[in-house]
Amino acid sequence: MIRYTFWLSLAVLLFVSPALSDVEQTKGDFQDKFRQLDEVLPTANSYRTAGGEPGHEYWQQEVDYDIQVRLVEDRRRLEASQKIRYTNNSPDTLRFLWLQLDQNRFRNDSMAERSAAFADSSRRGPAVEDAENGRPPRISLGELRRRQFSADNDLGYELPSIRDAEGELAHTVVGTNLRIDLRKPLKPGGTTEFEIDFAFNIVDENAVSARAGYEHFPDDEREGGNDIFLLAQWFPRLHAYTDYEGWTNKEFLGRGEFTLEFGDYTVDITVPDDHIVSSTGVLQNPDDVLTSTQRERLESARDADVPVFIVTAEEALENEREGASGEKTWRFQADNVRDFAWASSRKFIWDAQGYQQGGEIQPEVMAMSFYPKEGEPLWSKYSTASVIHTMKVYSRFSFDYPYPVAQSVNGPVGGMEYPMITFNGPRTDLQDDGERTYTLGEKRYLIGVIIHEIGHIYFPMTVNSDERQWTWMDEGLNSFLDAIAGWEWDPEIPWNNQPRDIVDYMKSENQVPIMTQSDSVLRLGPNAYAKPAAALMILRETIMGRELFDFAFREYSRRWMFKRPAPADFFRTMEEASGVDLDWFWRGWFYTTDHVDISIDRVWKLRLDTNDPDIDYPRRRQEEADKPASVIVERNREEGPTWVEQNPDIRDFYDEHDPFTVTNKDRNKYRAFLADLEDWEREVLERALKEDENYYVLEFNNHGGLVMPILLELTYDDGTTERLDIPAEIWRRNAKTVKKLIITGRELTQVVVDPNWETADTDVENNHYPRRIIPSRIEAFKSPERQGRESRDLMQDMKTKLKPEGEKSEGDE
Amino acid sequence: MIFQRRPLARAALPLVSLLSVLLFSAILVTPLRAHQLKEAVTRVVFNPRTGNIEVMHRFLLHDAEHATREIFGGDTDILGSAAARDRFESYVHERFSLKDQEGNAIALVPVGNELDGRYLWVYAEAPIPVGLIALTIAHDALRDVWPEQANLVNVERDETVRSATFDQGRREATIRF
Repeated sequence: MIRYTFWLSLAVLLFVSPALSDVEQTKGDFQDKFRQLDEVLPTANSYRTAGGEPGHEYWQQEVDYDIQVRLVEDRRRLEASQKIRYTNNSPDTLRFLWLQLDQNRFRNDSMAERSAAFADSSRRGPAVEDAENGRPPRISLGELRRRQFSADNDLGYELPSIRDAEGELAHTVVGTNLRIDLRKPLKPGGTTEFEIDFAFNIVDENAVSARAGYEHFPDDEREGGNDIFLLAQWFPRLHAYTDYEGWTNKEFLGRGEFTLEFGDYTVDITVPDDHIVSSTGVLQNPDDVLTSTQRERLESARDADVPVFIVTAEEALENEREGASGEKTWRFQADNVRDFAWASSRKFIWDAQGYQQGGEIQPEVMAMSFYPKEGEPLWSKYSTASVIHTMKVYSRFSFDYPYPVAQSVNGPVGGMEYPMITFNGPRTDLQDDGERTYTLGEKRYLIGVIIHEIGHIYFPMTVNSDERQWTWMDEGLNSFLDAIAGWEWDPEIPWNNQPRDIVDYMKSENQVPIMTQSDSVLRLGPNAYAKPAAALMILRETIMGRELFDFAFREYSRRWMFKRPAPADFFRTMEEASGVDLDWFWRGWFYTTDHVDISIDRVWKLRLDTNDPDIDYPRRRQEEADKPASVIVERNREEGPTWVEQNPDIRDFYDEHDPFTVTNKDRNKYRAFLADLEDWEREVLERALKEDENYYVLEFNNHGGLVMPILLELTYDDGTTERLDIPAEIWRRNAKTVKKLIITGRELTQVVVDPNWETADTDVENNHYPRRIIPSRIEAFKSPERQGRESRDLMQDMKTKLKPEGEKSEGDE
Repeated sequence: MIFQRRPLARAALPLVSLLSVLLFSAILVTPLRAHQLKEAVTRVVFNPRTGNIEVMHRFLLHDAEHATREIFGGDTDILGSAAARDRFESYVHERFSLKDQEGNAIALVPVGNELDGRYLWVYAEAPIPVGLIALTIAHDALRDVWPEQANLVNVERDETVRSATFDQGRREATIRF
């Protein structure tokens, strides 16, 4: 009996699971845009609840690292040894462990390299161009440089020893993955320790487009120049082992980033003794590596109102000129981080300012920036300030910044994030007069990129989503928040991620759903950054409202702080905490490539019939009189009198009465009608007649496929306007056409759908009733009014000297 | 992360190698970061009111700023100088073309450019050719400056949108109506 039951339930599972995701409408063309997502989302279990929360048996592994690393500057090489302590908190017994060998991506035989299609736009790196019209393909010198660098340098990891206390461990390298076979199976709750010696040659970031590497400055005064070293993905890191995917050991192809385990790190970094090191974690031995002056400055920075220089520009310039006389070892400790990165150079200017955020998690955070003279004077003004601003804004939306330091480092990487440390690329331009200047655009870029990268310390460094699978989970959420932080920095700067910015992408044919694995996404920028950010902006400002959205978003952040959320956990939490069914929204925005295009196409005006012939018949007569006269009648009249006009004496009964004349027969019929009404019917009718409202039926059509709320601006004949938001649910039984009744005492003169461009509606011309001509951009541009305004070169005109009154200026004649 | 941008050539210096591979010159300068959307969007709209094909290019201002400094020199000020914007406009017009089904070029007339928030718009137009049943588009702007540039073109005619993306893998696209 027991066996029978077991097989029965297994059979049910096998049949039901695929069937559930295969529900199909097989008659007609009805599309249920509000179909609940349960059949698409993974089944809830004790690790992840149906409400999107970590379940009562939620687990994640812990991996602690103890690393000694040496930067061999003249050979641009890292040599290191690491001790790893792996704790198996899963309910499973592990016989092997998988690690990430990201440096192997740069090997010529890597899958990333071998599978890179020629002229594939998604590949990182220099340009090549496909053949066209008989012209052969082209490759750039940059691409040749990349290939020459790869040919001339042995890239990827050297792994001379992988061992535990009993000796060498069997292991297998599979591309960017390393499998270590454990001597004994690692049981649930068990811990194992092993050591890896490794080394690799650091890539030239400018040649190979990595997320880290060195940048060479040949023009520095020191013989041979100087380098900035950014070190990330530099040590063999444990792959995540998860309840939803097992080992997340999908090959690193260069796009889909990382998912990692939290753990504690102690890292000894040995560098030339004139280098300044910025790193994940807290410096443990300042007495060994900093001067007493630097330590005093750091102390004074804790409660400073503006950044304090720990290394001034003059001191950094002095450093640049001289060579090292030996080595120093910087020791950093970082607790509960999912990764560890660092930077080192003798070029660094260093400033710091304490951020007293209060609270219990981390009352004081040291915000710091490291940059060469090539970043000045931009960086000292805005970098550390941007770091602090980011924490203030993001913490309001999630949780207190959880780490003791937050750093922004300038180097060859445009923008990249790691726990407590970010790499940001903006630079300034050296002018002929020796001064360094920057444009308004570069300033905005610096503030924007630092906000974005520091924001990543919240998502995904703390809310540890799986970047290898889902880029949008960190980039989309983070782009949403970085725009909010940007608007709060300076609303005069046109920040991005407004719904209106995404309409051209959303109506285009060339796109894939947001819910696409990172390496397969076409156009990663709009797909994983801008579209999800705009979607969240719409949820917050238009669909849920700030109060409900912010509560739910904070709840998601709280639930998954230092844990590993999957997409379903985000979707479910946002719904559960807000009480708003958003399945239709996730379906439309995240699972399809539909766009928003809602039109208003007809408006009917209705008036209640009273059934009282003494009221209704005169109205009918007036309606008839309001119709335009017959053209024949009008023209005949112009040509001369009609027969009736020529014979005024001949009249009869029907000349005195028209079809709208009321008779007692009609009145009796009305009385009978009233007598037949129930009491409540009579009351309703009487009130409606007394109020004598206008009834309007509005017809809307959905051309884009995405169901969305219908936001209406109603304009009345008295000049007033009214906002009416119709929830998206109006589309639930017909996603193509819907009508809505509006009852008002006033005369409706105009209806506009989405007047404030909140919904990413791709065609605003059909948003107006009555239709109005929306000039194209070119038509608007050519209009005389615009030409006058836009063609002014204000910056140039401002330089004009004021002439004495009365003096004619050129061209005034 | 944010995408990186690596400005490349200011002008093509083609060399033919023995392998019939063309090189175009690539002057690598300090890497610059990209805006997160390294994508220009162009609307090609058939406007029945004017009888014109209207071409409306939207570039991120920051992209255009860096591009012009690469192409025209380090002190080009696209935000402050109308002349610099006009030079950028000419550069764009030279790198965008439309052809009819016979392969005849449709002569686009430059209309102008304007700043709007974080975007720089560039405009051109041409009368809709009689009997036009296909449009061949090429759009190279900024693709000679950095490799990651992708130019999305939406052709909008009679309430239908057809798209082509121009990136490293695409030089020309033909859309049939």
